[in-house]
Amino acid sequence: MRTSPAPQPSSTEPSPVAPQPDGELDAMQAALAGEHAGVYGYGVVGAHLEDDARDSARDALAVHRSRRNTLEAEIRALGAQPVAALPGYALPFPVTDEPSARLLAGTMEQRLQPLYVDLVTTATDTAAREFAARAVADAAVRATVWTAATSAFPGLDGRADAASTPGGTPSANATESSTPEG
Amino acid sequence: MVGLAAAPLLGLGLSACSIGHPAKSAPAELPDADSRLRWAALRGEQSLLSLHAAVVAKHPGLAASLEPLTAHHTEHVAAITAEGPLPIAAGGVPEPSAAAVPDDAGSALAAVRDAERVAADARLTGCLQAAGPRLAGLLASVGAAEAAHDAALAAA
Repeated sequence: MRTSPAPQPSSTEPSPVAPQPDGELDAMQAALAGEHAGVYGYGVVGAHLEDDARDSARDALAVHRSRRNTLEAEIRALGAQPVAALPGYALPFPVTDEPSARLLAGTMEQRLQPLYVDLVTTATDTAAREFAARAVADAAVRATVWTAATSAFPGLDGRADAASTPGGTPSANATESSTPEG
Repeated sequence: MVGLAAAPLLGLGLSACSIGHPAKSAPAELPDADSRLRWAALRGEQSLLSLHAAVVAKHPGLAASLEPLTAHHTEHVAAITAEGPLPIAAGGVPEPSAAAVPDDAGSALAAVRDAERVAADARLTGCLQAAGPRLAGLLASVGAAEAAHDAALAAA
C-alpha cells in the first residue's frame, strides 16, 4: 500500500548514518493514512456525542481534515501519489454510546502520535518538523481530553528506538472492512 | 514545502543559522548545540519538578492531581539524561520558596498549568532547533506530554 516514492536523484550518495532518502515521504504517507482513519473515525464518534462533546468532535474532525489536506499537498509536492482513504475501516471495538465514542476518539489520537513522531524525526525542513511536532502535541491533548489518560512520552511509549523505525507503525484502524464511508 | 511553509513559526525567527546559538543560560563549555538543548530541557524539567513539589507541600489536596504528572517529569529527566553525557551536574535548581506558591489552591494549580504550557512551548522550540532527529523526536514527545498536562489539570 506504500506509494512509490518519486525518482531519487542518484548523483548524491547518502551517508550510512543519514536517514533513508524516502524516510520523510514514508512518514508523511503513514501519517496521511492515519488521518484518513481519523476522519472516518470522528464521523462515527460524533454520531454518539451530544452538546459540547459533539462540538469537540466536530472541531477535531476539522483539524484532522486540515492535516490530511496538508499532507496530501506535501506528498504531491514531493512528486508522489498520496495514499487514498480506504473504503471503510474496522473499528477496534463497538461504538454504541458516549463512553465508547470517547474511547475511540482517544484511541485514534494515541495511534496518530507515533506516526507524527516519525515525521518529526524524518522531516527535512523546519516547517515539516513543526507541523509534525504540533500534531503530536495536539493529539496528546485531545487524547487526554477524551479519555483523561496521560502519557509521559506521547508517540514514544513502548518503542525501543523511535528514531530507527520511521514509518514502521501501522496506521490507525487501517483494516479494511465492508463498512461504507459515511 | 509549499503548504507547510505557510505554517506560523512561533515568531521564533528560526533559520539554519539559529541552530548553533546556545540557550541563554547554558554553560559555554557544553560541546555542541544539541547538548545545550538537552541541558536547557533538563533545567526546565527540574524546575517543573521543584514547582510540583512546592505546590503539593503547600496544598496537599492537589497531590492526587499532580503526582501522576510529576512522575512524568521524573521520566523526562531520565530520558534527557540518558541521551548522552552532560558535563554540567544536573540539579541545583532552587526550590521555589513557599511564599512563591499562591495561598489559594486554584491559583497554585493555575500556576502549574502556566508552567506546563511554557515548558511545552520551550520543548517545541528545542525540537525545532535540534540537529539530531532522535533528540527532536524526544523533545516533541516531552513537549506533547506537557501540553497534555495542561489539559489534564484543566479538568482537575
